[in-house]
Amino acid sequence: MTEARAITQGRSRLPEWAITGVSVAVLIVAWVVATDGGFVDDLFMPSPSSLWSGFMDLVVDGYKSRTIWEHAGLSLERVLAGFVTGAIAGTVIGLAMGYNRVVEACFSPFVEFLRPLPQLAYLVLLIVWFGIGETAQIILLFLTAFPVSAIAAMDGVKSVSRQRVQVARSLGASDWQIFRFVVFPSALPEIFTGARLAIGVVYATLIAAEIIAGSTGLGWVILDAGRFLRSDYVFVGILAIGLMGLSLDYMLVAIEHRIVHWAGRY
Amino acid sequence: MNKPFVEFSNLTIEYPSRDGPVVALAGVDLAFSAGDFVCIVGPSGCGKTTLMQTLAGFLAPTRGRVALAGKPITGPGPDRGVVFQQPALFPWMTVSENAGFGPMVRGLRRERREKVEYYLKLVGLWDFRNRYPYQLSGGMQQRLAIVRALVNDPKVLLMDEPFGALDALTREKMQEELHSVWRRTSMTVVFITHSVEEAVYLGTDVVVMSPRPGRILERLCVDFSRRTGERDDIRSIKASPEFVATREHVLGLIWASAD
Repeated sequence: MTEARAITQGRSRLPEWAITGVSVAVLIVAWVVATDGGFVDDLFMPSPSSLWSGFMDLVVDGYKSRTIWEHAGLSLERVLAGFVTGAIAGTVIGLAMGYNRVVEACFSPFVEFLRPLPQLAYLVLLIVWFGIGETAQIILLFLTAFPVSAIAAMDGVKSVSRQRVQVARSLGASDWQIFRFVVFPSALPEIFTGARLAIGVVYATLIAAEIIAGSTGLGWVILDAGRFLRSDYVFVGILAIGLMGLSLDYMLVAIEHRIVHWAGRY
Repeated sequence: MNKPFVEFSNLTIEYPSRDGPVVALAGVDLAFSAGDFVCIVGPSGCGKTTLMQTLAGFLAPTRGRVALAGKPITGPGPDRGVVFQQPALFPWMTVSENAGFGPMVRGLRRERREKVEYYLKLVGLWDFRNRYPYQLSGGMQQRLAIVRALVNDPKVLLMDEPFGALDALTREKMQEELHSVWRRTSMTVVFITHSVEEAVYLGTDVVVMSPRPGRILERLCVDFSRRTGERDDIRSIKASPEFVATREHVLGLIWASAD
């Protein structure tokens, strides 16, 4: 790793952040030239000024009686409610599945079946059962996060080093102590990897949930505005949802680095 | 020999495999007293590790029995500490938390503090007590793995090629450290190694094993380790005709059995 870095540094003196800055600046300039220069119609790609006025519209007047902050807040609530409950439940079940073959045999058919299933396939059922609204959406997001976290936690438990467990046992640790002090911490890096995967899938599913089973939230704003050809609103919505996703991932990474700072370094 | 402290009698271990059972150990009889430093050498796959795993309680005998102080072994326990070739530390714990793991899980708070401090100071890790294992060198990690076993006050210390992954210089230093700890305590050590020199130098007893199915070819009583004091002695002991002759004898046994 250090050697590879040394080689790249030899070729280019610019620090990474500067290169990133240039790359983003080039895109913005291309955008300004294309739109303000009149090469692209506002319908396909709004110019910076119409994007800004679209954003101010959404902040001041809102979209269909709610400001963009309210829509964003609702989306965030759903993501967090679905992700947190799904990831915690999935991790608990996954740990048990990894630790005990009876639990694994009981749950694995459902988890394995649920994981590759496209969420939209069962969203219809959830709407039939729970109606259009928050419940159906949050349950959908819960079911999205659950199998991803469960499988990550199970794999984490199964990949625990046998020697580490043997050492702990011969030092006098009980089954519960081995789980608490050895197996669970060993599985933590994989649990975090699973959480990041899960939040990605949950985020992608959110849009579908809001479009089909709701009438609020950023995903719904994007789709609804698209139907009225308000591409300025669509772009604002996409930017907002993208930035929100980026910050959620950064937060998870920050927590991960703090808790499993030792991962991959021994 | 007085009453044996560790006793393997007619120990046979078979593993199931697709082509029928594989015999790892075939009727091993071996006994030694408390305080012995037993080194087990033999070619790869001779069952040295299997022998250790049975004494540790990780493996149950297919036939025969293993007893410690007259009691048959039924599972792992804190009277037997283990050290593997890989340190197998707990990377989420600091150096002192790793060292104190045994007393921690057994609820021995005072022992924990005192023993951890004593042993970490003894091996020069006290200044690193708040670091994490990944911040230590390979030699320091293995020292910590040994300290973790010693802090628990085992009656027997089981070591499976503990210095196999270390460079030659670190390895010699660690041999010395282990030896001085062993001389200070009444601990029994079972030490598995590939290195005949290490075995002959460290052991009070050298057990030579045959390739699979593992049997005991010969058992030698040696006393080179009891003669040491200064570092200069070590070099001259390892160069002495007597030491060389013993080493060559053991090597010869292993070569002959491999043919």
